Amino acid sequence: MSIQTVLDTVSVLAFIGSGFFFVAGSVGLVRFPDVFTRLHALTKADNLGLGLLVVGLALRSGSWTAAAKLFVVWLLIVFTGATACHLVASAARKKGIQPWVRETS
Amino acid sequence: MMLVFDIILMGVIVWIALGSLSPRGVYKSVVMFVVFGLFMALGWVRLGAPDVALAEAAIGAGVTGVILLDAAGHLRQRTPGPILERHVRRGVAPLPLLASVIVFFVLALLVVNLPAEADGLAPLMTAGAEDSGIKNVVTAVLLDFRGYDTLLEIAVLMLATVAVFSLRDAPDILGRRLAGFAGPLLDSFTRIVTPFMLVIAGHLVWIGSSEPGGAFQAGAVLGAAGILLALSGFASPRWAGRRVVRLSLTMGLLVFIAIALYPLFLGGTLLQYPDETRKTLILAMETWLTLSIGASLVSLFIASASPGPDGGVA
Amino acid sequence: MKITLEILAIALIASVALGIYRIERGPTAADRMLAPMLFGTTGTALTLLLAEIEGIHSLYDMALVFALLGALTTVAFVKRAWGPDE
Repeated sequence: MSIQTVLDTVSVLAFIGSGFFFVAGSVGLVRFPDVFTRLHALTKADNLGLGLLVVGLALRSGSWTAAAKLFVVWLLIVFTGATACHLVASAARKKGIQPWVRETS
Repeated sequence: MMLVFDIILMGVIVWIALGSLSPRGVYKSVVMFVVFGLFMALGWVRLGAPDVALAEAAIGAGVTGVILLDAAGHLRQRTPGPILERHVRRGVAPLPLLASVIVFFVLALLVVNLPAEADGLAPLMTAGAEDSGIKNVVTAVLLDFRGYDTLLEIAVLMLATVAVFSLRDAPDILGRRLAGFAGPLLDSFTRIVTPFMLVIAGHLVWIGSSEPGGAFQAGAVLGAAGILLALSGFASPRWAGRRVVRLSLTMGLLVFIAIALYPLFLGGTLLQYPDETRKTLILAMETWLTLSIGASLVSLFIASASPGPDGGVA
Repeated sequence: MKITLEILAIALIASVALGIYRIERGPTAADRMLAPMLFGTTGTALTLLLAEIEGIHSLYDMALVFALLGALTTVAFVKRAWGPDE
């Protein structure tokens, strides 16, 4: 069981996980009932989807500088994504968009 | 396998393009157009043109998207509801569509019938680029082989900025504040991200000589940084008075003209850079071009954006 | 190994195409803006993937640009384009 096979397996698993979270983010975007929950779905794609992708790519890259650059891209997306989502959500609240409430009847 | 990817990409691009032309609401069209720019950037990557992809992402989706969003917001405040429906004449709409389809088929036929072995000018370009020391063929073409075109393009950009200034009567362009204090989150976000954007702009200019990058891409990122500052309510610094603004807008073109004329004194022709200093000259040009392009994009945005809450519509 | 990357790329672009549906439908303006936000992130991911698949590592710079411009577009939307709701 060479180190290369271990790296390859882990990165394939990471890619599968990443794909899952990205698809989940989009499905959430389409299926969730209001703005706030949709934003929530988006951040899953941002953090975990891209994070797992970066892990997988970094394991394949074979150089520390490439891995560092990938990591920086991920950090940037997390940072900007969190800020963007907060901006949209707080502006939505100020405009009076009400969160969806499950009907209990 | 990537064929599946390409087919989906192409389908999405056409779908979004049609969607952005739909008359059902300006805002929807603008958002579609922004997404269109982003997908086109991916398309350029698939076509093997990373420089164009960089430029498309930065300018097409970034700066142009922001200007259009601002315009859409301004329009919606004045005329709520879809405003284009009243102006589309029924019988005329199919004609441009038909023309586009015909052009598409003609082009497709031409491309398919290109001889398979023809490399065109590519070997000549690559060899010439090696000689000139600029390893990135795109940069070599833009600034060296076809430098005259780029010179005129920069002049056009400057003229466009002047035209927008004249429409808006905005001599004191960077002094206008588009917004007040933007709230702690956006304020800190901008303070952290802007230096990062500046570093990336510098990086793109520097590696433009050997990797995808260059003045236009870096200038677009610089412009985006300036627009972010303006949106977040940062007033321009004290040293950025009228003269500094005008200098930054024109230095790119002036440096380019100076470097273009310089060979005349050495007995050559316009834009015939001497071999030893070629790389230095091109790098100097790119740096000043970046500054000017960035300044132009920021000025275009600030001049065309409607004023913020402090005044009425100018 | 490369096939995994390619399948992932297809999955990503298919999922983004789904998101475009939200531009069409989303009742509020914010909903319509969510698709460009999603696409900024997914576009970054696709750029990184394509960089790996095609071996053009200079595309990492483009991923950075994608990330930054996505943020800028959202800020522009929130501050300038979000008028009275339709």
